[in-house]
Amino acid sequence: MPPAEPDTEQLLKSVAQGDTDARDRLLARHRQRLRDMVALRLDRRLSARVDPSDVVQEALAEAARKLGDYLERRPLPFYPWLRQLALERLLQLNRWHVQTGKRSVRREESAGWLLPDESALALANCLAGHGSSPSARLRRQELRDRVQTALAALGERDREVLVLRYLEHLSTRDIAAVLGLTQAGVKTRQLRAVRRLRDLLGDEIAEELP
Amino acid sequence: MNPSALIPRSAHTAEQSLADLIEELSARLETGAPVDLAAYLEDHPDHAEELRRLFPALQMLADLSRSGTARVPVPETGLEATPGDLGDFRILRELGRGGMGVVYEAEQLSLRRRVALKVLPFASTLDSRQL
Repeated sequence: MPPAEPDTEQLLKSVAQGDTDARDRLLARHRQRLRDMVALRLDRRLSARVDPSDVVQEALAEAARKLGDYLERRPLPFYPWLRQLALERLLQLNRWHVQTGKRSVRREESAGWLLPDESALALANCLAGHGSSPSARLRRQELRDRVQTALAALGERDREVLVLRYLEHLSTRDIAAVLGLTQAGVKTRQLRAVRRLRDLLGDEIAEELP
Repeated sequence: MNPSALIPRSAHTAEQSLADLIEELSARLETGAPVDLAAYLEDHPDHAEELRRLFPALQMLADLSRSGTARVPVPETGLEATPGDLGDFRILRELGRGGMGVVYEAEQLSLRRRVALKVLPFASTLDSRQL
């Protein structure tokens, strides 16, 4: 396995030697990134009751408890491991809200929950965020609608790899760890997803982009 | 047309090298630096056609990757929470939204059928019969 970014490795080494300060710094540096990931993947109907920061806080507390075990086994690179703990928290929350019968968060396609339709919205809204002049903004809006439709039409696997790559900013190595693929496999899946997106967007897209 | 359908199995390595190129190009676009597409096409004549075709999509993805606002948008109208039951309708999921309100997939309980239900802004303050 290629080395992780040196700082993380150094800190992990210190943690292994019982340095609790290093542990806290290690966990703190991933807080914002985890928060963004949770916010991105939080079902919008849960977002009124669930604060992503709380989810991250719980995940980090769990990580602190399990760090010793992690250091022995290293089943995943560090960030994907943390991310997985936070995702499991999200799943628990979802189950809890569903089981307590809150119909407002019930969802038919439970498999899609960790990558809700909202991620397509988020992708598209990013695009709409730039335009400056009103006409540019209008074009952006039209573009956003088309992009949103295209992303929603993508298969889950294609959308997932694009979200991991472009919204969560995971490295190819980390995406490989998350998806259980080789790095070459990640890249071919990414190629496939970009092709499908391109097909769905149609040819006018080339003229409308800046 | 999806060109991958035209590529024979034996061209697997060509496919992989295109996949590598796409990743490389993406990474460059994400730095925000201008990319000399023509030079790329010249260096990789085998992939030129596909690179040219995919480039706008890569640009779009890099654009949003750099925007740094990748996040579920903050609710604007207070309509985010799915209303649950509205009179005879059970809300199943949101289908879309626009200036005129939100469209939900719903079940009409009395007739046991799936319907699309449009909920107007501020409707939550009104009696559900007015929807």
